Amino acid sequence: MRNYAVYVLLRQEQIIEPVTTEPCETGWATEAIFFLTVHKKHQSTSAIVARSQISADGINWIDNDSPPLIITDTGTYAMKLRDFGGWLRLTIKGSEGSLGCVITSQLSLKE
Amino acid sequence: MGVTLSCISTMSEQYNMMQPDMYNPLKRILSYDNFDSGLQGWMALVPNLREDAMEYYPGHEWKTKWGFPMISSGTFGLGGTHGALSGNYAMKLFTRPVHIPAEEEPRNGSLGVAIKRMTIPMHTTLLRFEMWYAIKVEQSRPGVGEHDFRGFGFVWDIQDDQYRYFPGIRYINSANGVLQKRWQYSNAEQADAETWGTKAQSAKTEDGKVVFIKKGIDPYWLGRRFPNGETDGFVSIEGGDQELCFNESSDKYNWHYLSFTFNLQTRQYVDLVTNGKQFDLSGLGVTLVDPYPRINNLLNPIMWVETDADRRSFLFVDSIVCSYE
Repeated sequence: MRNYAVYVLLRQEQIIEPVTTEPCETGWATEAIFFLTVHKKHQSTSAIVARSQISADGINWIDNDSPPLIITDTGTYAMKLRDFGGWLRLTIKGSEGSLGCVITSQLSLKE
Repeated sequence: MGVTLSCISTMSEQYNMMQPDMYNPLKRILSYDNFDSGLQGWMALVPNLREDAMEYYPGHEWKTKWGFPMISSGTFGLGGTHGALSGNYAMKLFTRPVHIPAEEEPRNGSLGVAIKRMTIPMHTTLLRFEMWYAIKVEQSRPGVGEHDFRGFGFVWDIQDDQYRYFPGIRYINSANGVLQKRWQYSNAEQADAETWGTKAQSAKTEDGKVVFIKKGIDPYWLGRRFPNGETDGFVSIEGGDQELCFNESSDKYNWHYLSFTFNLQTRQYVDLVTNGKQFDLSGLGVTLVDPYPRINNLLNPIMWVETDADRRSFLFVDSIVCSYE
């Protein structure tokens, strides 16, 4: 039976500055989905941009080549990933600098 | 009964798969966790949810950011992959890179906490927790980082027919950058109820009364703290000084054996064995707290790691055996 786990990266967290989620070790998994739920969004935030990053060692990070999530409204969104290697994390920022929102984010991993 | 026998059989089969000399369990195996097949019940510790909304109680937000357990291969940039003591994967518990002075309450992820949830088996007198563990800080800057690793620990969260209590042990390695290197046992008798910790609404009783956090509960983050790393929740063991094998480089770590035994009938400590030394804890007791609602017969093993700098600290656990007789 395949292994499966969800790591909760942000729990209904109020975000006003760009954030980077904790490094997650993903070497055992072949599928990953970042789920991102925007519970509230301040009007001054034009769009929330969430981008996945990969790493060989959990220290040095580069942008993944998958397209980012660009979120303009509340709701739940998903970023599906493969070929991500042993480490994943998510960066979240405002498209025009301003950021004000409440977010839950989970990383869903499957062997 | 059939289900129970089936479970014991499965556990025995798992135990037989262990390398036989890795552990020294009591007669009955309660759980065997080898993290090559997932986290096996170990998960993040999060606050209780409100009754009226899928939200946390106001004032509990600081408890939503603890580091959580994940499956780890122990991979470093220049050293490559450690793997585990047995197999390729261990459970890794991490802190966030958040520096909180030793005299202040932990918050914002300065601890990483993992919990598994069980209940007490029938006819349990002795309870033993064993693990193979390693400690390290993140290789995010030059230096071994020994002064940046504050400590780690283990407690049972137990509620029997009369009391709730938290027998456990803590290794305090460094406090505000000063090495300490000693073992402590969980006991909050020196604390007082007023300064024990944040008073916050939590689980309610059947008649709707609010329950507040009582002295002795959750000693890994509650109680006053001091610059030398002492806290109101733990007492240093007499003769408890010990050097662990931290290693000479920031990308090398060594596996240590640990065994912690507690007597549920007398509610007293038995011993701690780790890194080639036995610490006699006989005669030492725990702080007994009136029972909480809805957790009768609770038996939760909990472990945590603490950072002493704005640098992630890690507790790696190859495997765990909980046993009883």
